[in-house]
Parts: sequence; C-alpha cells; structure tokens
Amino acid sequence: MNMSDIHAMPAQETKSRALPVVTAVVALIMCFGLFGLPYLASSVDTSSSINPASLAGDPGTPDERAECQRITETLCILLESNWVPGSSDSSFQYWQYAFASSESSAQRALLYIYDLAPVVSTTAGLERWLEQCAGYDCEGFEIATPNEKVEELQLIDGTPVQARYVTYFFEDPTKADIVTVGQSFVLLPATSNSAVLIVDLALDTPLAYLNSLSETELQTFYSDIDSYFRLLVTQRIQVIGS
Amino acid sequence: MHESFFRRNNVAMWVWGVFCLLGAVELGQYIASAISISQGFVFAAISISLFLAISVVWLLRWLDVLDQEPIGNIVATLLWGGLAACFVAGYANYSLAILIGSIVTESSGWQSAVVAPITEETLKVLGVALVIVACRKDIHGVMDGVIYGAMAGLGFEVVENIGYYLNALFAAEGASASAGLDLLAERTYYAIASSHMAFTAIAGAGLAYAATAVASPARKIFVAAGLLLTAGLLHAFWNSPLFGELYGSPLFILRGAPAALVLLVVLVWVSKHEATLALSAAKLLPKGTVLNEEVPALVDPLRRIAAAIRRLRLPAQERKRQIQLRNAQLAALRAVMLGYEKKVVDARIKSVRVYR
Repeated sequence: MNMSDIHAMPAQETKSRALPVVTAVVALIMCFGLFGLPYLASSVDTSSSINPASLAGDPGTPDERAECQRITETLCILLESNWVPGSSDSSFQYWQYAFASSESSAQRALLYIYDLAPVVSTTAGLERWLEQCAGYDCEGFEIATPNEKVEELQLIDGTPVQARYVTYFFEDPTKADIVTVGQSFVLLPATSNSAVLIVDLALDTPLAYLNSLSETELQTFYSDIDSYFRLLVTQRIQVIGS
Repeated sequence: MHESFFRRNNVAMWVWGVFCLLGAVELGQYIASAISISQGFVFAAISISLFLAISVVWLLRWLDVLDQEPIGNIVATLLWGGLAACFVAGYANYSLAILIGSIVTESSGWQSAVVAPITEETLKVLGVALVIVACRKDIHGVMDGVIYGAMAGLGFEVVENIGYYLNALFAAEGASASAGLDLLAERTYYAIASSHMAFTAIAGAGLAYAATAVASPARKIFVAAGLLLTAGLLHAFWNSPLFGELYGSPLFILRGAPAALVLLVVLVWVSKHEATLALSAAKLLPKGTVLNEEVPALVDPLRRIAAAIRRLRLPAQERKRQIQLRNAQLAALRAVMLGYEKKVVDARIKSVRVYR
C-alpha cells in the first residue's frame, strides 16, 4: 500500500451527497433483512408432508415391531413388543404402550413418528410441528420448554443426527383428571437424503398423581421421561436401508 | 472539533434510532423473561459480557491514541451492532437458512458458515458506514474504521453471547439457573482469537480506507469489498464444521488463528497509516514540537510498548517528564488534526516546549 494514498488533513466536509444516499441504502438493506428475506422465505415450500399412513411392516427382529418413515431412505424406530398400534379412528396413526396396572405414574404412552420432508431444518421442522400443536387440540396445548439449542446425537447405527426438542403439556377438556406430558424430538439425520423427522412421545398421567409429587419428585419424573426418550431416540432408531 | 453522530439534522441518526429501538424492545422483552427465571444468574451473565466489553473498549482506546473517536460515535456503533444488527440478523439468518436450506442443509454443518457471514457481516458494517458518512469530518484514517468496526462487532458479540445464555436458561426452565454460563464463558474465551469484533474491525478498515484514501474509485471499492469479503470468509471458517472435533477443548481457539493473523496484518497496515497521518500533522506544527523520529514511538503500538519498557529503567522524575512530553505531543498533533482553534493549538505547543 502506497503511503501517498493517505488522505491528508484537513478532513473533508461532512455535508456530502453521500450521507442521504448511504442512509437510504442502509435503511433499504435493513428493511430487506427484516421484511424482504422473511417474505421470500415464506414462499419456500416447507409445508410438511405428514404421512399418517398405516403403520409399517416389521423389518426388525421377531420380537420387535418397527415404525418406519421415509420414502427412499427408511428410518425406523424399533419397538418392543408391548408397543401396540393405537386406535385406528385417530387422524394420526400412533403406537401405544400399555403400562402394567402397578405403574400408576402413567396410564399409557403414545408414540408418533412423522416425516416432514422436504423440511430440511430442525428449526423449521419444530416450528411447523408446534404450529400444529403436535397433533393435539390447540385449546389445551402448552409448550413447557421451548428449546432452541441444536444437539448432536448419534443413532445406534452410527448415523449422526441434529436434534431439537420441546416438552409440552396437553389437557384434554373431556378428561379433566388426565394430563398428557409429552416430548417432541425433531431429528435431522445426516444421511444423503436428509429431511426432518418428528418423534413424539406422550404420557397420559393422572393429575392426582402429578399433584401428589413433591417438587423434587416432579423433577425426577420429568427427568425420567427425558432419559427414557433420549434412550428411545439414541438406542431404538436406526436407518434400515434405502 | 469532533462532530457528534447525535445531531438533530443527521438523517442517519434517525434511521439508526428506529432500528436500535426495535432491537432494544425485543432484547428488553427477552431479558425481562429471563430475569423472571433467575435474576442473579442473568446479571452474572451480563457481568461476564461487560468484562469482555470493557476490556475491548480499553484496548481500542489504547490503540486509537492519535485521534480518539468521540464517545457518542463509539456508543452509536456499539448499539448498532448490539441492537439493530443483532435484531435484524435474527430474522435474516432464519429466512436465509430456509432459502438455501435445500442446497446447504443444516445437517451438513455448513449452513451457519454460509448464512451468518452474509447477513451478520453486512448488517454490522452498515452501522460503521452510517457513522463514517454522517461524521465524515471526524474520519481521519483507516484506524477510525477499525475502531468503529470493532465496536459494532463488540455490541453484536455481547448481545449474541447473552442471547445464547438466555436460550440455555429458557431451555433449562429454571431447573438449572446457571445453565449456559459455561457456554457464555467459553464464547468469551474464544473471542480472544476470533470474534465479531475482529471480523467487523477488518471490514471497517476497508470502509474507512474508501472514505479517506486518495485513490481511484476502483481501488477504493476493491479494498473495501476485499476486506468485507475477507471478514466474511473468516467468519465462515469460524462457523464451519472444520476442526469441529476440537470443540469443547481449549485448543478450539486455534480455529481463530486465521482471523487473528489477518487482524494483526490489518493493524500493522493501519499503524503505518497512523504514522503517516502523525507525520503530516507534525509538519504543520512548529519545528521541534514533534520530531519525525519521535512519531513511531507515539503511535505505533509495538514501539509504544517498547518505549514504556525503556521508561521503566529511568528515574521517576525523568519517567514522569517523558510521559508528560508524550501526552503533550499527542495533544498537539490531535489539535492540528481536528482543526482546533489557534489558541488551543498554541497552548498545546507551549506544553510540549515546557516538558521538552
């Protein structure tokens, strides 16, 4: 750099023609970032193609069932035999876990798995999913922990996935004594045909049981749900094939 | 004399004000929600960020010895980075990620390396551009762009860090109020090597060059665009998954080496500019006020440190005299550069003679 390039004193006058022009350009770029880009993004088709198709076949071991989603690259969640298909009159197909009667903490667990292709971002996927109140009636749906942090997890078959999750509550007005405590995991496997997958686990829990718990026991209850769910995600989901 | 950014007839100030206000409202709401979870830890998080901010401001004021920028203009760029740029970046990042999502997927790990440099580097440097054009009279060299750029970057860095902390706090839902403090401390540590301050300081240098250099328009555009692109590439490298396996290790900071090196090169280049400016100013002073051979020790950071070390060996009285002489010489140079009234310049020249 030639030092003769340096502008010598005194400095130039402030009132240059550049001020209004630069100010206008700055305002335009800021407005574009604030309104233009979101507008353009809204035209991108991120609509979920939730496929509440019938439950998949059984590519797992004889004592396991599997819920699979994906069109070309099948991602399956392997389920123990006590997961059974849920009520067929539901708008979304789901798996149901029947607890033994001695387990009073939860009456039943529901498991959903959805492919949100072509959504390719966990942020967009989560937003999309929550817009639909995770499949519940939005009236009694409440998000407990919005989680904006992306976690890096690894499936049991070694497939790395990015994950976000939320915990939510659902109170069905027709079942005043039951609270559904659920978690939705939004998974984005690092596979060649990546798209977002929602895995949703919900526990129907008697309100009386929740009310009987101390603060510490309640934390433990939520922590147990969290641990179980993470186990489900990391140990029971795998890419079956393409 | 200095020209404040905050003057009623400055159209740039009103644009600045609108976007800063929008950002302040959103940030305020966010912080208020977090305080309801844990007041103490939110203030602890803000304190960690303030430690970073004060350290950087002190370092920049030390570097900018020749022509210290008006505090109002410094605050203007700081708030632009923290409020306006950070606020708009939240929307722009999200939207651009969706737009490019099918090409650069989130799972590839490269999405934030593409999105953030484009949006954030552009948005931050806009604040520097506003101050430079609105206070053109006060822009004397490339160092001014470095200072304003670093301040815009600092504002962005601080608010972004607090944002990361608050997200972790919300995610923990009060179960662990200290959640995220480790992340905040980690980001503060990484900021030593590679940060928004470094990126925007580099980009700001380009803008100030374009505003002050006597060069062809093509050359100005080349330097300004080149440095902005460099800042973007350094940001992209920092955000990329390259060497991601080091994450969590203190060695992760080494990924900031390219940014630190480029910033160092820019600072060396800028100190040469500063020396040239000081020599030009010295020529306008009476002979003997500031000798040519004294200029490097007045403005060059490394020579200033060396001179300070040499002074330590001197008797206290002589050390004090040399410090006073140095301060008087800088004050005289500044008075000439900023076009102070003749009686002020004369008084400062007289001070130099007294200490010499």
